Amino acid sequence: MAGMIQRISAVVRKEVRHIFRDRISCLLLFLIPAFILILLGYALGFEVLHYNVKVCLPPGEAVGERLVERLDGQPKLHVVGRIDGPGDIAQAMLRDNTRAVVELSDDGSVDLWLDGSSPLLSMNGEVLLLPVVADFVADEYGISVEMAAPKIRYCYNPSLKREYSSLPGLALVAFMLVSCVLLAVSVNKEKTSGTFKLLRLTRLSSLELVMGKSLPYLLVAVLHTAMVLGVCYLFGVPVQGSLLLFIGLCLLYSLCCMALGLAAAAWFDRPLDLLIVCWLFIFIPNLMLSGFVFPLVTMEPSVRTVAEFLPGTAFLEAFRGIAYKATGMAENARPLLMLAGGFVVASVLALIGFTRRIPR
Amino acid sequence: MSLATLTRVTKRFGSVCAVDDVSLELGRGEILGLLGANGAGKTTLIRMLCGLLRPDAGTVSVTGRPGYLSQDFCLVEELTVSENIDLYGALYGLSRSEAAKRREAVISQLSLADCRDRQVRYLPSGWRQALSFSIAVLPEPAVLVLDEPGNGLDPLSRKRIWQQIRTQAATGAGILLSTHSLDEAWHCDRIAVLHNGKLIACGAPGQVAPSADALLRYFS
Amino acid sequence: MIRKLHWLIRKEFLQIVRTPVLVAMLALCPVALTGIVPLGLSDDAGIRVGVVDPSHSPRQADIVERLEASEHIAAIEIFQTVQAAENRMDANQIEAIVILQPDGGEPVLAIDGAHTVQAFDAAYFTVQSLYGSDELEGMVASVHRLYAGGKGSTRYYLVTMIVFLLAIVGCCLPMLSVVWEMESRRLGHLRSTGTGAGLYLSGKMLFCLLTVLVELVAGLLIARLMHGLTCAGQPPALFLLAACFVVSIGNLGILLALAGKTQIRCIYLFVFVFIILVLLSTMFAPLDNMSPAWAATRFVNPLFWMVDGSWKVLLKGAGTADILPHCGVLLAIGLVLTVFNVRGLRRQ
Repeated sequence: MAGMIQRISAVVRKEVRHIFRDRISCLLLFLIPAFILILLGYALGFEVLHYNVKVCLPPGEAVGERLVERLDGQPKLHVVGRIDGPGDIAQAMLRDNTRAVVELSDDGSVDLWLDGSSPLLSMNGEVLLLPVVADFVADEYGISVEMAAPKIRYCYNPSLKREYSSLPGLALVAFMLVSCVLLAVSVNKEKTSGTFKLLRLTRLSSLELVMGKSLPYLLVAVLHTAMVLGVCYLFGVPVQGSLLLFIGLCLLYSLCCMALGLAAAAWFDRPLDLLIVCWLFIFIPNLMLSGFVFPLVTMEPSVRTVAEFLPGTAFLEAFRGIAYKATGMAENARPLLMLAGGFVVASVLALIGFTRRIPR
Repeated sequence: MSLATLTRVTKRFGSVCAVDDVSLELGRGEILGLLGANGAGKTTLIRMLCGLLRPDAGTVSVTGRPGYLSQDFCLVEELTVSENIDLYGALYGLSRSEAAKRREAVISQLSLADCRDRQVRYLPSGWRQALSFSIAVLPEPAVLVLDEPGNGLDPLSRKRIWQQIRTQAATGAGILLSTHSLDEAWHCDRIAVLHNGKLIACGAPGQVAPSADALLRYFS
Repeated sequence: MIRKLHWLIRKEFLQIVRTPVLVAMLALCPVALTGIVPLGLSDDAGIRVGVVDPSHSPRQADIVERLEASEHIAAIEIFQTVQAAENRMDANQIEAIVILQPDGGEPVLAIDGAHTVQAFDAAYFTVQSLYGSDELEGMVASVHRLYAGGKGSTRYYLVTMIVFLLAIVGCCLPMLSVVWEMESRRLGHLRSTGTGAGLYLSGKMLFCLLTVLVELVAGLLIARLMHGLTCAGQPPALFLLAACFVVSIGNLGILLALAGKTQIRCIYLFVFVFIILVLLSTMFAPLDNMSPAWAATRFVNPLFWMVDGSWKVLLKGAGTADILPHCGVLLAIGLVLTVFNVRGLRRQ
C-alpha cells in the first residue's frame, strides 16, 4: 500500500510539474473555463433584446406614420426600413437582420409577416408585435380586443432570468473540455513521446498510472467547481439546494468526464484519432443532445432514450434540480447514479485499454 | 572557387547563442564535415545555409539552391517511392520528362524497382535514408547539405550512404555534412569543429587532430 | 507553378485516402452531424401539463379538451392539489401547471422556469392552446409565418449542423496537416525545395476547398434523404458562400497550427477558439438576444456569416446577390488571415 501511494504520488508530481511548466497549457486549463463561464454567460441569451422590423404602409396615409411611431416607441422593436409593396416582403427579410414585416393595408387591416425559419424567432415576433398591434388597432379603430393575458408565474426562476439556461450548459462545456478532452490529449502526448512505455516498464500498474495522471486534473476540477459556484453568485443565480450535493455533483461529473477521456486515450493512439473521438463522439453529442441546446422534451423518443445515457444529460438534470429546485439526493438519485455508472464503465474500459494495449 | 560562404554568421534564440560568429567556405568537390556535440549549433548552421533560418548577423551566400537532407527523413510517409520522387521533382521545378528520367535512374540505382509502388512508411530506415539522399540530389545541386546522414543506420546502410556522398562529390558538388560521429568526420576532406556555437577548429583531418579518436578532446 | 500546385494538392489527397482514420472521419462527420444528431430535433414542443382542479370545476373538461387538441402538448395529468403537481415539477415530470380557480376565474399558469428556453415554449404553447390565439390573431392581425414549411425547428438547426460540419472539416484539415509537417520537419524540407509560403498555403487551401465542397454535397444529400431538407434558394449561391467560408476558416486553422506549433497545443487552441466562435455565431442564440457589444463580434466571426448566409439560401430562398456581402466579409477575413499566415510561415 505504501509503495502504491509512493508510485502514484510520483506520477502526480510529474503531472503537476508538466501542467504548470507549460505556460500555454496552464493558461488554457484555467482560462478556457473562466472565459466560457463568465464572458459567454454574459454574451449568450435567450431573451430578445432587439427585434428588427420593416413596415409596408399605404402611401400618404398619416395612420401609417402613427404605426411606425408606435412600433419604434417600443424598447425592443426597431423599425429599420420601409418597403413599397407586399411583393418586396421576401426580399426585405433577407437584409438588415429583419425578423418581421408589418403590413398596413388601405382598409386598415394589418398583416404580420414573421420570420418563421425558426419557431423561436417566429414566437418572439408574435409575442412582441401582437400586443403592440392590438393596442394600435384599439386606439385607431376603436376595436377592443381582449388579448389573452393569463397570470403566469415562473417557478424556480420568477423573473425568467436567461442565465438559468446558459449557466448549466456552459459549466457542462467547461468541465467536459478540461476533464475529458484536455486530459485525453495529455495522456496521448505521453504515448506519442514514448514516456508512457517507460512508465509502464517500472513497477507502476495500470491503475496507479491512471490514478496518478487523473488526480491533478481532479484538483483542477475542484478549482473549476469553485469557479462555477462563483459565477452562479456573480450572475445572481445562487445554488438553492445543498451546496455539498452541488459540489459533489460537479466533482462526480468531472470524474465521469475524466474516465471518458482516459478511455478514449487508452484505445486511440494518434492525436488525430483521439481528437475525432473526443470531438465527434463525446463532446458534440453531449453538447447537442443533453438538453442544453434543445430541450429534452422536444426530442424524438428513440433519440431521447439514447440522450438519457449521456453524462451531460444527467449533469444538467441534476444541476437544475439541485441549484434551481433545491431538490435533494433522493430526487436526483437517477442522474447521480447515471454519472457514477458512467464513471465505472469508462474507468474499466480505460484500465483494460491501458493494460492490453501497452503491455509491459 | 567557393560554392558556399558563411561570413561571421550569428544566430540567437532568446538568450541562447546557437551560432556565434562563424565563418566557413565550401569548395567544389569538397566534403566538409561539421563536427560537434549535441547542441553545438550544427543544425542551426545548416538551416541557415539552406535558407530556412535567417542569421541575426553575418552573410550567407550559396551557389544555386542547395539540396538538403534533414535528420528526419524528408519523405511523405503515405506516398509511394515513385510518388515521393515525382513530388519532389515537381517541387524542384524539373520538367515532366526530366523528372521521369531521374525517377527511373534513382529507382534503378537504389534497386527499388520492386518497391516503387510501396508506401515509404513500410520501407526499412536504411532504404528510406538512401531514398531521401537521392531526392536531395534530384535537382543536381551545386551544394549539398546533409544533417547527420548516418544517424541510426546499420553499417551497411551507412556504407551505402557514403558511397553516394563520394559519387556526388566526384561530380563537383560541394558537400557539407554534420555529424557527431568521429569516424564519419575523419572521412571528410576537411573538418570544422563547433563547440557552444563557436568554430574552434577547421582544417584537414590530420591538421585538426592526429587521429579520429583524438577529435574527442574537442568535446570536452 | 501549376505543376507544383498540382503535386501539392495530390500529396494532400493521397495522404488522406491512405489514412483510414481520416477517411472514416470525413465519411462519418456528415452522417453524424446532418444525419444522426438532427434525429434529436423535433418541431413538437412536447410539453407535459398538469391540471390542478381542487374544486372539480366544470371548466376542467373544456381545459383538458383544449390542451389535448394542441400538437405541442404531449401529456396531461390531473391533480387534486397544487403541492402534488409541484412535486411532479420538482421531479422534472411536468413543465406546466394549469391551476383552476374555485371561483371560476381565469386559471393561473405555473411554468417550470429552471430551463428558460423550455419555459418560454411551455408558456407560449399552453396559452395558445387554452386561449386559441389563432382566433385572436385574426381579430388583431393576420399572421403569416414565412419559411416555416411545417418543420421550422428541424430545418433551422439542420442548416446549423451543416455549417458546423463544414467548419470542423475546413478548420481541422489544414491545421493538422500543417502542424504535422511542422513537427516532422517536413515543412522545412518542402520549403527548402524553393516552394514559397504562398504556394505551399495555396496547395493546402485548394485541397481543403475541394474537401469541404464534397462534405457539403454529402451533408446536403443526407439532410435531404433523411430529413427532407431542400434548398429554397440558388444552390450555386450556397457553394459560393461555402468556398468563401473555406478561405477564412481554413486560414484560421493554419493560423492555429502556426501559433500552436505542436499537435497538442493546436488541439487546445482549436477547442478554445472553436467553442467561442460557435457559441457567438448565433447558431444557438439569435443575434436579437445579444447586446450590441457581443453582436459586434460577428464581424470577425466567419461562422456567423456562413450560418446566416446558409439560412438565407437554404430556408429563405436567397440568391447570389443576397449573399454577396457575406462572401465579401468572409473573403476579407480570409485575406487578413492569409497575410498573417504567409508571414508566419516565412518566419518558421
